[in-house]
Amino acid sequence: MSAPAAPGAPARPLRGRSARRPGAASGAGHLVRSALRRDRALIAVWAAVTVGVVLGGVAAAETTYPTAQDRQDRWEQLQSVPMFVLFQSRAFADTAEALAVQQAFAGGTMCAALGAILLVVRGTRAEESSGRRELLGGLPLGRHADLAAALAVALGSGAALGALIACGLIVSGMPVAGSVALGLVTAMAVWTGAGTAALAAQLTSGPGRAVGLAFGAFYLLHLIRGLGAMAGGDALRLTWVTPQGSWENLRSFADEQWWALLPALIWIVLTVAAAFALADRRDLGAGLLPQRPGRVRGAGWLRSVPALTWRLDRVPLAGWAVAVAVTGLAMGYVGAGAMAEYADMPWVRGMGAELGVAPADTFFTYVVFVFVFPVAAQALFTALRIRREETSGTAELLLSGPTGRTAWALAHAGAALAAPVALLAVLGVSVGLGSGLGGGQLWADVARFTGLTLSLAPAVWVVVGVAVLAQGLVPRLSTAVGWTALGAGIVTEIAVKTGLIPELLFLLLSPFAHVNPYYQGSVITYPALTALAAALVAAGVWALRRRDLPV
Amino acid sequence: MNSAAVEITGLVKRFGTTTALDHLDLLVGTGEVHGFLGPNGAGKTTALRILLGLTRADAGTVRLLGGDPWREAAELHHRLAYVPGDVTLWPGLSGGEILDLLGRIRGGTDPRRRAELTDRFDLDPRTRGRAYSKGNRQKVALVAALAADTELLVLDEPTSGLDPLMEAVFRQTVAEERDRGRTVLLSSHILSEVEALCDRVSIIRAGRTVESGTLAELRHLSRIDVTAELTGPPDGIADLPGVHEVTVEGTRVRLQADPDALDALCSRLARAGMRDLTAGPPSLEELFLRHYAADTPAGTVAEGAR
Repeated sequence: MSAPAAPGAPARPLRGRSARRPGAASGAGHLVRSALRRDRALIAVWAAVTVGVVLGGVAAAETTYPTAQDRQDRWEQLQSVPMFVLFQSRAFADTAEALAVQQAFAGGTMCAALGAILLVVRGTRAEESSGRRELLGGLPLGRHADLAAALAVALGSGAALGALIACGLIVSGMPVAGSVALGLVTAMAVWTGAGTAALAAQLTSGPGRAVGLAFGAFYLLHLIRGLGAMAGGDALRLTWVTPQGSWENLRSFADEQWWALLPALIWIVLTVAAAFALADRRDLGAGLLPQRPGRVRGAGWLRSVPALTWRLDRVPLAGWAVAVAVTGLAMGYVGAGAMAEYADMPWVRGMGAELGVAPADTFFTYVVFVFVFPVAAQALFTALRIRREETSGTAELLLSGPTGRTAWALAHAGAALAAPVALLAVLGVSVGLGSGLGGGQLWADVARFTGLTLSLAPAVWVVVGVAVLAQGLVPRLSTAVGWTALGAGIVTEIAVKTGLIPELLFLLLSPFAHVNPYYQGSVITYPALTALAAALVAAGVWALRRRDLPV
Repeated sequence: MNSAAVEITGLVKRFGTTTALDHLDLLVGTGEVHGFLGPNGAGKTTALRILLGLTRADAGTVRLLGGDPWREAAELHHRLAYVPGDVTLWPGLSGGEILDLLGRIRGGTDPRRRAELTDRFDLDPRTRGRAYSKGNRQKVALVAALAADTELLVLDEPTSGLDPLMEAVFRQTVAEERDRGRTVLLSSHILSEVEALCDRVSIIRAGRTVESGTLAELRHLSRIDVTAELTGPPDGIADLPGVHEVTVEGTRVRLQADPDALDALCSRLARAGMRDLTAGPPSLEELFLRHYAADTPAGTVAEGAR
């Protein structure tokens, strides 16, 4: 990448820094500092959620599975319900720690990777697409300084997160080898997310698309691992070609096989190397994937702010819908088969009675509920567009025209309220279809699951409401406030399940608590949550009307 | 002058401890092209944002087209079009889609007018927002604003980023709009553009209006540059009242004179004997430099959020 020194000529020291050959990554140090400053809120929330999911989940293993009977039940459950293997991971021992790792594996690695993906895309593609990277073009920075800096930040945070989790587990009395193994898995999930994002950032020219591509690939690899693990036999080979499979094969807390990490390491090295190689083959601001030219005229319906939000959202929303539909179909299809025999187990009957559902539905009610979190993340991201439009300047373009602020803000809030309803409906219908095709009663299943998933929407609306209120009242903090609200929902969910916090605190902090099958309140819960969300949105719009824009 | 399109008196806006606008006055008559000038950070963009009801005034009165720009923003905006100084577009939408969206939100624009402007400004409507250069983003906003048939155009440094060819197109188009009776408030740094287009100008510095009037008036208030080649020694000229900055190089004299000191100066020069004489108003550039170069150092006042 940089020219070798002229042969034979003794290197003559010049003044200070210029003595060094400028490498493609030179100057990255400055960018690392500015990235750490720019993304400090993201890093803090991300680290808290990831540590909460992994450390919180595993350190409390003893409270989650207090008796040998509990562990035995869970072990049987994992043997008989393949969905847990598909979406979470395999378990390699029936100890409390190993079972806790099984449960925290998917959430922990996905959280870890998502944060790394956001960090890397924000440091590379987003800087390029906003034009800020160009500002640095005249400085003595290497061509790949931004990529190197973003990766350094992500890899460094990964190492720190991993160390934090390993130390935390050891301090809480877990076996040292398993603690180190789980710390390594988390760190590698961060690194893998970073490498995948670095690669995706070279392919597409839009930051949003780069995040979608990278996380989509990560999730797909997780499912490929799951398919291999679920099918067993020869298909187990599938677990070796995916990073997630190799972390799983490490067998944390179950007689670790350290060499299993090798394929995952190769994956990281390959993606990072490919990203640097591809970065040489493209122009600043361009992606490697070709971009279609736009339309000469807008479609006939593109004539209002709500129509604009649909125009902006439809492609990413379609991506989400496909991901949710595939997941739901698989979940319904595989789940239904297992349910018939499964429903007879005593603990399933007990759980069903507790939740007030038929034993065969227990599993779905529980697993389906978990999918409310990614759906809420999509809704939150959509809701925070009010602030993004404000800071980017596109808000000015509309608000200087005959668009009132209320109508403008409500259009964006409306998009954020409608999207989760659509995605939850897709989830319910696809789980129902899968279950019906897998041997259930097609239309009854569709109706039942759709009813269940749609009942989760009011909790998502509350998160959207918090985001709208924050954007009205504390615009500069709104992104952090929004994600903290969702993060609090996820962390308290895990914390209460593992007995770390009292139920009352959970009910106070998390809107999801009130639609959670375990803590389901009365019928008025749903209208109450809806009314709360409406009040939050109204207060947010009221505050937005009264302040300067942009600030 | 008819009734005023824009009437600002004693406008104050503070951001925290910095005062962006410090009793600003601005009067734009209906049907005139008004130049709004000032150094970077003088508060031009903040003033325009208050005029558009995006930012709220702390004190003073602001009337826009006879209404209150904060409370009646959306209604008043039917009657004006705005081009921001730094145009951002939705990255995934093409220029054509954005023009259609903005036009339809206004209730539709004349398609022929739009086509004509797109053509004139040589704008490719298929390019997506993220792929446009700064000048081309500016053109999208200009076409959208010019195509809207509104009484008032508010333009914040609209030609920044345009090439000279497009600048000429812009001038011609604005001149046509002026002839059609539209009012234009034009914030600009490009003095030749202001000179060519504006009926009146206001110069602001550090959030305060320092000068306002027609260009002729402003020039009238200013000193006149005089250069004379004399046959005799220029004795006593420097002592004349209203004569400033006298420099003598041999028989050549350069000086600046107040307009009402011209009579006395000319007779004194005639007595000394003249071989050559040039006298003229200061160039616009000098006029502005005189106002821009502040007693208060530039940059002590922040220009709003950007």
